[in-house]
Amino acid sequence: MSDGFGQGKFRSPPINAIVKFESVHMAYGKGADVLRDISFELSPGDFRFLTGPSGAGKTTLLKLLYLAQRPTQGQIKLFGNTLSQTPRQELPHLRRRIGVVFQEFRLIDHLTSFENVALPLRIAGKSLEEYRPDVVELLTWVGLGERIHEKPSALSGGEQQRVAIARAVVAKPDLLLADEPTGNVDPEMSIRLLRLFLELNKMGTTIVFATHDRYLVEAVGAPELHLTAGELDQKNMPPMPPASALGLQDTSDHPGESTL
Amino acid sequence: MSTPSPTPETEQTDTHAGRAMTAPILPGTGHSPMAGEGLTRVIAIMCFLASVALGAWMAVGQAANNWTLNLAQSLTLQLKPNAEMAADEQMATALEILKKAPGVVEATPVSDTRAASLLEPWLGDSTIIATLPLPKLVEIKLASSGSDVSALASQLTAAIPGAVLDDHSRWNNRLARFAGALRWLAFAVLALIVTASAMIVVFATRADMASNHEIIEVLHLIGAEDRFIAGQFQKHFQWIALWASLMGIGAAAIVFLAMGQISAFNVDPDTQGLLPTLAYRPELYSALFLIPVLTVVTAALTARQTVLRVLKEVM
Repeated sequence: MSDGFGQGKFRSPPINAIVKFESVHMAYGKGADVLRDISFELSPGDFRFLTGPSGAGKTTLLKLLYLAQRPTQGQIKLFGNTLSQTPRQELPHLRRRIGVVFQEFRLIDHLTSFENVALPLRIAGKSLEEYRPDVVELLTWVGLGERIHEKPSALSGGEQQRVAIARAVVAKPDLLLADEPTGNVDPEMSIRLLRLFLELNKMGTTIVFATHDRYLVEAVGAPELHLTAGELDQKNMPPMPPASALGLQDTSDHPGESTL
Repeated sequence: MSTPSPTPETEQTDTHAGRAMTAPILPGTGHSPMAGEGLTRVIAIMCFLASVALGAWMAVGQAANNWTLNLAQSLTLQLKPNAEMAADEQMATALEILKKAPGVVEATPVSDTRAASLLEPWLGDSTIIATLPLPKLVEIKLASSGSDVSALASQLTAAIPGAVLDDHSRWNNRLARFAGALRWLAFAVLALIVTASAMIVVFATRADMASNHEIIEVLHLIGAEDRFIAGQFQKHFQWIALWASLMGIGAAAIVFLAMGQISAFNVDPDTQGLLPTLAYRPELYSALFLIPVLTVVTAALTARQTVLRVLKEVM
């Protein structure tokens, strides 16, 4: 497990950086900077925890990453595109390469779990016949096989969160952003979901995972982007975890493997 | 559906599930006629009012035409009791002249009993009327062209002492002015209601859109193109507007038909021509169908514009 989370790539010169922030500042309106002088790079297959106290700017950083906000200063490159020079009509195509698990889930209320999860595929123009097996299998894998026709209002917080995660990963994004994605589920499910993230990561998806859960951070042992009051200090090498403790290596027999 | 992956046995249920799995992205689109209930009601009511205004405009126009046309194509000859000529001779001469006059289609003497019944509302009991020296009346119907009323009038007065030809022009001119004013008024009311309806459809659509803000944002963030999102909303509101406006004009059509039934019972020959019988006029119904067309276009454009404006403000 020497290279499971992209630590090797983390140090190598990032020629094909998926994300590149150069001296990015961000303020809302005329307020003070929420983020100050943020510079970092992510390569394909990187896994980063985004940590830091509440109000340190984690959600704002994610918003910049999922193209909901433009920085007030500095430059962001995404998949090789300099955002400030990318025409607005190109942005949807970039967004489709990004999966987002929003902190407040943001599921569409009147759509069932199945329809919510299928949404990114539908937007990309896929037909029901094409995506149905994948969506059903993914929902089954996150433990919602019996609830695919339920609407969000009939689901518990943890179930809604799993729907949100499934929606974020269903299109196999190149970049996966997650804001406290395991905040509402029990420890057993949070490990199961983490395994899903790691599985995607192994297949080359770059992951930024915002969390307060030190246990997860230390168990996985991936590098951190640590924000303090809007500034970044990269904690590079936390101690490696005993991988067997989480069973994270053992991914050969889970049912989601064929699609994920 | 509890089976995660489709197997041959589940193929049958898949058809059903397939339908359920492609629900519209917006609540209630198309599938339910009662989608967006508040908006549906507002649009239905405004379409009903617009239909009634349209019907009223057409009815007033038609009634005004009837009045002036009836009057213009009819004359009344009065033969006043006179010492120089007996009543019977007056009548015979008059009918002789009228028979030869160009443009006269029909000349009917008004019987004494009918004359008495016409006067009854003013003079009371017809036995009293019978004792009065009443003028004899002849109703004359003219063809729409080819008559010379003034020549006929001088011919009649020269030949018959006590003859007076009334061409109703006093009434006709006043009625024509009145009818013209009424027509404009009805048109102004129609224009106001149509404008107000269009504005209300715009405002109601925008208000309904506000509740869908979250959907716009989520679709945007997961990579939907502006025109995809705008298209979804346009479709959604088109359906609502179509259903609602059809309900509105349907209700109006029922009202028109009911009014037609009521006026069909009106057999009083003196007032029949005054009340227009709109109910069975095809042009009313074809005009009514303009209302849903306008409503659907208004709602669809509003929804589209609103979405595009919202999206223009985000990255």
